[in-house]
Amino acid sequence: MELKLDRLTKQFGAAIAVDRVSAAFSPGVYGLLGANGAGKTTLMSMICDVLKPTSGSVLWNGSPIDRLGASYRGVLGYLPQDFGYYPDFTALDFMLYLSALKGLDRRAARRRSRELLDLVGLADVARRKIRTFSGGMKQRLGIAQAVINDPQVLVLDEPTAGLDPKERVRFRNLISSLAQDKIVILSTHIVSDVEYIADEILVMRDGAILTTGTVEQIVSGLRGQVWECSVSPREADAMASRVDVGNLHYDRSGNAVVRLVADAPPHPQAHPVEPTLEDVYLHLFNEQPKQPNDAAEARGPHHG
Amino acid sequence: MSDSMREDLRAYYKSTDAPVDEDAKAHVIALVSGQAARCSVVGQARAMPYWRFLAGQLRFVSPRAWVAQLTLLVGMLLLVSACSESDATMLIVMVASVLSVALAVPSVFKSFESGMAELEAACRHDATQVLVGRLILFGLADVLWMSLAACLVPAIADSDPFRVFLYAATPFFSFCAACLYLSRITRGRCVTACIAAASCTVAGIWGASTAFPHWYSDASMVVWSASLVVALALALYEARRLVAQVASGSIFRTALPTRG
Amino acid sequence: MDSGDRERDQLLDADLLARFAEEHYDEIFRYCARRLPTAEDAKDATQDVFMRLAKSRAVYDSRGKPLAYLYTCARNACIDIMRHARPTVALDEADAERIPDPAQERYQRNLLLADALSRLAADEREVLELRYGQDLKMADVAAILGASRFALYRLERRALDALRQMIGDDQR
Repeated sequence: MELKLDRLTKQFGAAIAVDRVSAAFSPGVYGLLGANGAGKTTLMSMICDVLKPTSGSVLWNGSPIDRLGASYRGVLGYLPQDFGYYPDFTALDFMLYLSALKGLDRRAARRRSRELLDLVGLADVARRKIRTFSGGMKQRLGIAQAVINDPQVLVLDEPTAGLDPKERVRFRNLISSLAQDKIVILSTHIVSDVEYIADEILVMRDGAILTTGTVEQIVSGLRGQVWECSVSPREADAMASRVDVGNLHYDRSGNAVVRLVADAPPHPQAHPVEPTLEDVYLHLFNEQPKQPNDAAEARGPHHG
Repeated sequence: MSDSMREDLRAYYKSTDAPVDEDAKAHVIALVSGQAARCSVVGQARAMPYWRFLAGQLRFVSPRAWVAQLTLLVGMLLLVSACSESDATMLIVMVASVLSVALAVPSVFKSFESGMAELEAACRHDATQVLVGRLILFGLADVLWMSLAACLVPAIADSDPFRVFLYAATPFFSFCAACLYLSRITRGRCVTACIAAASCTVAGIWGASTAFPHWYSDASMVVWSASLVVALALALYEARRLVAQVASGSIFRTALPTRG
Repeated sequence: MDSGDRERDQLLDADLLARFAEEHYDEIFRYCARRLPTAEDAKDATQDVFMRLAKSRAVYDSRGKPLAYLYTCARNACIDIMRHARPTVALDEADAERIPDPAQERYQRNLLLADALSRLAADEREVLELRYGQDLKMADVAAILGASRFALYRLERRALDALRQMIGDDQR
């Protein structure tokens, strides 16, 4: 069971959204980490045969997916970032409709829909209209439809953005349990999610894959370059104007605890600390990784 | 002699067989059932013939869409019978056929208006098949519609059936082409645009008839027939372009470069 | 749709797949046990085989009967395990560990057979094992080994003659 990307490229006019991405996936959980505009969604759309690439190909067990067509989509499960639903649909209608499109016969569709709604905790609202659902409930419904055909490849685009912490943990556990012998590719801004459940991380910037590896491998690249020091707030401000500060918080004595990435100790009192994935993110993207509540803006009011 | 060798062999193999551990066997059977239960869903998720897919799609078309079409047909027939003396009957037929397209637009492009299309696109029967399926379903319904109009209106209003057919079909296909075009340029969110276009077209038809009464009957059958062919060709051309846009994925919002 | 297709389609029903495992577990276990050093290995191999059958979509695409696929899996599973175990032992040594009570009447005969079998060519031994050890019909053996029935009948006859010669039956 192997999914391969061979120099996958997507161009919109002059803009290159995905730039000759090559990768190979075997069963496991892969985290696609990158800032907004990095090309993650475009890449995932091409993997799911939603968007045709400008050049390059996606290969499933050696065969290009444009040749496999429907039989490849039959082993796919996709949760897009902002999906819609027909206005009057209940959760059960939604599941049955997509089951029909995925080729399940009516009996199997009914059985699987109930099983999955149960699994994601929506069994008691199965006959309620989706427009009454909260963001978290909608996401759970989304993942239920993504696995209804027991796919071999599961692609999730920002599945935890906009969820509260309890729901994020629940979602993470759900994904982990569903990930048995599947290829799961999930993209996220939320570093902590991907840190815990991904077997391998792919870091994406400007449409290209910067680096891949396990969390440990990626993080070890920064070992010895992450520092923390406790300084006065004024010194902290001065530092922030000179270098990119990763994290700044104030301790009880009123001092600023500054955490940053640098080749050499940035301050006489700085001491090295164990790097985390967030440090890597900052270092690569020169910006703060999205905090969970920031991402709530991205999940705006839905027009469906 | 040869029999005894075979017998010997059988006995030999039997005597050297290792005993089966029933617990291990039960365990394996339980594992297999569990695994197979998951796989049996997939096994049944095979491609179905297109006609069966279409029939399935019929289930998901809102009954209101059919009711609207039926109401329009009945309304048209009633109006025609009310005005059977005047010349407005043909205008009514033309306006009604334009409206029947406008009424079908929300149902046909439902996936794009609601944002379901991206989910559909990654399914075995993808967004392209869904769109084409709906175009076929409503197309068939409208063929029925126009046939009924072509049969009943002449009976009511005492006119030439072929003319009625031309007056129904030509605006119908022209307006189809317009809606398909609008859908392509608005990335599927064309309901308001189509309603606006329908209003303009209806106003245009009525306005033309006040300015040039009988403009439609003055034009010869040849001109009408030629227009029908052109309208049909345009509609097919626009349909093909729209389907290509859906198949390539450029109709989806994910196809915008600014999204993450 | 030939009967192979129909049987394969029936496998899609979970109950039938479990029943298939029930029917064939014993023979696959015995088959593996003959090739592997310990009973534990054989149990592991058998479990692998049936899990692969249940999981693999390939079984829905395989052109032959599921039985052929099963045996091919079994042979591969045994090869995999043997690669990590001790090198191939002569058949008689492994069998000698399993030959039961010496007081059994067939004891002498079985010893002779074991020895003679180990001297046969591998493909001849394979055919005899599938036919007389696994009690398979020649049609099934042909599907498993991927050879024609005609060729296999010839192979079987040759093997039986060789055995008789070695044991001295042809002089009886």
